[in-house]
Amino acid sequence: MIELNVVQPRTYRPDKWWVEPFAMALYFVFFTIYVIYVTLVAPLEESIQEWDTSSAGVNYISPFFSPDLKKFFGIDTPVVNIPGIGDWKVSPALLLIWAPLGFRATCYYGRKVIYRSFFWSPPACAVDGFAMRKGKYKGDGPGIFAIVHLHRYFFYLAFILAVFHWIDTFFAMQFRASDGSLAYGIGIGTLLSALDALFLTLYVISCHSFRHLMGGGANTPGTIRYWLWSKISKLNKYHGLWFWLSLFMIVIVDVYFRLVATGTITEVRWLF
Amino acid sequence: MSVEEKKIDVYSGAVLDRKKKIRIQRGSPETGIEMVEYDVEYDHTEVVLDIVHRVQAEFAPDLAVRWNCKAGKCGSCSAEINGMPKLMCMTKMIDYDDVDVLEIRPMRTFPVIKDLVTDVSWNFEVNKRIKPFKPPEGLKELTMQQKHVDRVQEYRKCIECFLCQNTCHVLRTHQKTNEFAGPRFMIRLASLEMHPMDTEENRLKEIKDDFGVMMCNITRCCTEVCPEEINITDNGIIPLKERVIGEFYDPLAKAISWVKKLL
Ligand code: SF4
Ligand code: SF4
Ligand code: FES
Repeated sequence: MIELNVVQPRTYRPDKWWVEPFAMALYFVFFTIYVIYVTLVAPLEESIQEWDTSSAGVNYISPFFSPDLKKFFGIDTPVVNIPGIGDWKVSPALLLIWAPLGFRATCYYGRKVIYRSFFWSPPACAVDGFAMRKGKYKGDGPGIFAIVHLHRYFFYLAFILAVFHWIDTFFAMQFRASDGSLAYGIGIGTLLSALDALFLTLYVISCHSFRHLMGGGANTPGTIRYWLWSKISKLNKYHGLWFWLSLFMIVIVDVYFRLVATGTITEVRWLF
Repeated sequence: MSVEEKKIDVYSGAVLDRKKKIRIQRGSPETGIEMVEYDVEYDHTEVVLDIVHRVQAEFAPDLAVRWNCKAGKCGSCSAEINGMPKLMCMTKMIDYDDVDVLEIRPMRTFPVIKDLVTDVSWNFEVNKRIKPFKPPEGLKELTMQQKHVDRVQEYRKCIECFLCQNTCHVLRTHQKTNEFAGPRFMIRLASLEMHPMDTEENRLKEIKDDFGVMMCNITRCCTEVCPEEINITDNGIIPLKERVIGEFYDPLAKAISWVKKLL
């Protein structure tokens, strides 16, 4: 083996290489806090405990609560009394969140963001990370982190989720008039819901594991698999873009639906 | 300024109407390494390699720099320009119009021989360890469908500039030269592993154990610096990882093969 160069400074790059990892870390931290709010804190507040957009005459469901456990599976989450804090309804979001989070955390793009922004391994190209020259680097998925190899299974869950987001968009076209009759139409929420479903679908089907399954793993895939593989490959190029768009959309949709549900804003909608 | 007053480079005809302070790393480990500053004039059409040549012509005839094609095709002129690994012949000077100083250093991951020239022979040693393409025995002619070799042909664009090897933090920061073959050889291995007519067995196991595909943490710096715009990570390394996971780490696949063995 040839001895490589001697120790040098972390980087000679004079540009603002830290902006990207820092900005991404910031959004991840914000998102984590938001998830904690949605799953743990919000259910404590009386007004949001029963948060239900039907009171506003709409049938919207936030992506955090999709699929609707009550509507599709008849599961109603229990209310637990936490001494000193009060009644706390186990949020359906809490029961569901691990699947999309697991998919994102084991995603080949998501891992890049995590490795760069949080582990600084490396923070940017031609910039040394913290673990510099200690010989401790173990590669991708060492020890307990071998969970990343389960990405292909999280894919199936995420795929099912994407289907439910389209079903949610369909229900988001149903509105209830003041006399209780059902009407169909399109509201801002319906459009947001559709965008959310679209971005999530693009994100999920451009997954590297799906690409592998659909022909990437074969040297001479058959006609259909080859066709699918080549289409997925085209989308896969923008996997990171879909990752971010769908991650933004989840929060935007959730905030918007909360505002509608609590009557903070009156929605613009067109009924057929 | 009238045409007559303009300073012209007599060899290239470049109009030298811009100025830049540039610092070049000079020397070798034996003689000591230092940054030497030069004030150079340049034309808006020129690339960094032109400026290095001007320094050679005007100030430092003993400056060592490796280059051949000046067209981004031979892969010789790799260096680090203001800290970013790039081909000197493919980096325009006007991209640096608004920086005060331009610093040019040799690739950091490889030992310096002199000035901007590094010893990249480690790469050739790694290459020798890769088993060559093995067509089916007794085959006279290779017939295959274009679509099945499309992806392999992307990897063939590699010009062996070793910028990816230089930038990959596994080699650059962590110096895992024994455990990891580096992105350039990951795509060479991918081109063999994915070849429809290759019959060499055990490639996947070697890719995992001998060439260390799992050392890569898919942070994509190789792809960012590749001058041939090969999508090394998404099209080469991740598909290899997926194959390796399918073969060696997938719990379901493991269970199936275990049941198969029982039957
Ligand atoms: S993606 Fe992998 S091979 Fe490429 S630079 Fe990063 S760690 Fe190295
Ligand atoms: S893969 Fe790209 S960066 Fe790496 S050696 Fe080949 S051309 Fe250079
Ligand atoms: S001189 Fe050939 S690639 Fe730059």
